Amino acid sequence: MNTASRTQVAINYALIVVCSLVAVYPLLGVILASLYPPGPGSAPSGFALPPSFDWHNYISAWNQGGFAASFTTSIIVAALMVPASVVLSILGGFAFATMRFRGSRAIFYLFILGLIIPTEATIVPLYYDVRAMGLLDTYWALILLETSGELAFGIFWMRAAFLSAPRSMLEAARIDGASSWRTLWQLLVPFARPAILTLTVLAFADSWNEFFLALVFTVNHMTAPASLASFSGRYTTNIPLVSAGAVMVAVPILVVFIIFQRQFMRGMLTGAVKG
Amino acid sequence: MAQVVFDEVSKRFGVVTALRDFSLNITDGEFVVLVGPSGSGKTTALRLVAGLEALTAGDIRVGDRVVNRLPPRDRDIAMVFQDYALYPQMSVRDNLAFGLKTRKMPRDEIERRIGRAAEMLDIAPLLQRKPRALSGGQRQRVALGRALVRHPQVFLMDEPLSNLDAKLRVQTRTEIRRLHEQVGTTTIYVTHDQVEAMTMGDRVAVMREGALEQVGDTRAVYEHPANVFVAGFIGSPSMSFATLGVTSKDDEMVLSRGGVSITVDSARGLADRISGDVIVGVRPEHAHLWVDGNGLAGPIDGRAEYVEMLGREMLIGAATGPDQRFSVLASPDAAVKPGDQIRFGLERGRLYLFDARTQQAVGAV
Repeated sequence: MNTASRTQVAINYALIVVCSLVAVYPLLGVILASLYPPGPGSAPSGFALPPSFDWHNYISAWNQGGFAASFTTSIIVAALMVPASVVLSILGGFAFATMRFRGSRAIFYLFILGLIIPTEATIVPLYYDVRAMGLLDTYWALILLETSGELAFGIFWMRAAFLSAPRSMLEAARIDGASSWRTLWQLLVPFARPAILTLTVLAFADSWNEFFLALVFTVNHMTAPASLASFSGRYTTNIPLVSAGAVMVAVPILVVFIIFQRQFMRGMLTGAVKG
Repeated sequence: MAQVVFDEVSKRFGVVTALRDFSLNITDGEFVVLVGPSGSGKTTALRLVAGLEALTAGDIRVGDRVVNRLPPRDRDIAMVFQDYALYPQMSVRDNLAFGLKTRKMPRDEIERRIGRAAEMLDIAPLLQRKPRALSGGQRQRVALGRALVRHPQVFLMDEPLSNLDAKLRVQTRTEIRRLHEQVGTTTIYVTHDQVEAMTMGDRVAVMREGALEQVGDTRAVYEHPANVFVAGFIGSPSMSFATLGVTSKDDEMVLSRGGVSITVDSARGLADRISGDVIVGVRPEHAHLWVDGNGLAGPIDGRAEYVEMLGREMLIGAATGPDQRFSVLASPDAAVKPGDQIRFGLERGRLYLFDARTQQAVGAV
């Protein structure tokens, strides 16, 4: 290794350390704040260590914030939304990547529009639609809306992943007599496994973090982040309890990411090859 | 097994014509090589037989069936791809079995065929491995095996050796020929390498810019090239060309320009067929250093521009005039250096004459 590249490595490391600090700083702040003694008078600040570590904050926050119910909602919604959006993204991505049909380009761009238009822009007509279907304040409102929201990215993502498969492999399958269905599930899905796992993790994170839709469409079926919001409204000055709630809401995503970390990164990189 | 017939086949990609009125009859059990430079349409022709592209005009028949509109799976063909196109997530065994399972073949028959192919190709120890754990040569054999187990009517091979190193390429060339002799399946083989074409094919079809230039057995194409392109493309080291003027006197014909003057006897009939200039083609092995001139046409004087030692022989590039060069094969102990003046002659009966305007062969003298 020559000197120039050694300097380069040093600069890279310095950059990584700075970025990590920026990312970790607020998290660490929240964790420390969650351990301060509760009550309106308690005023955590920055990285100052709490006078005593108050683990009871977590139990109080769990009970007072109604997290048992909201975690259940989040789990049910994620359990249905993640498989649905991944499977539909695979099917849609496959069609756009391998099939030529009239209007395919226009339809694809229509899906891409979903990536660009914010939910806030369509929330009012959406509300009337959901009400007309009688789905207000149900799991289904969240599951259906989140799934359709995820498809814009999911189809775009899976299309890119399938396009990176060697064309000759698909042609060999055609000559071997494989149907589209068999080609997809026996060849392309195993090939795109890292990308699919990444999509699964991202879909789970999107579903778990759902706040706005839950706030608009449900009353008794709040998701975990939404119930955190209502909780923080009532105890607006009780920062240790809010922080304890925030840490609990973040834990499942952290666990999922740690489990799938390696595949997640691989998927990110393979997906980046072709757009 | 079956014959394959291209009948006036054309293929256009937008404004580009990849194949133009291509007609070729490949008989049952024959090994035909489509050879040409890149962009000559050889791979397009192969993909049309496979059904991976739809033809624009004409008919393709496999056996007695016109297959123009049949999907690839119903054409009863198997193809070996340049990059092997193995299924990366499957073991070698599953790669071989895939095409048979899609056809709902009984399990014991699948096993029997895999066993036989594995034995023929010596890949039995690799059956449990994934493609990424195989060397290039092993992947190549698995790709051949995947075609073989299908027992198709036609094998299509798209430059299957081009990703192998030189030594392995020569070995595999022999192996593919041996396999063909064993199973006798009609084979269409595409390559840009004329040595591969000459060594493998029963017949060679030379293509250029989407058209068939010449088809015939390897010897005929080598010894009687139909035009300047085929003459220059087939043969290594390649043929030298010189454009010469033609004059005839009595029964003699004189080809001359610059420092070259060749007198040909009893060529009256030929001279009458030539109008204006003629392109003379000479293969390097038919040009020799001038010793005592016995039997050779010449002598021709030139300057050695380059000298290449080929081992058994020495190749001398001799400039005889502006834009006029001949390659001369000499024995390796000939004392010639670049820049030397040399004198050489050409074998009579081995000078190929082409019409300078149409580039078509008019005869040999």
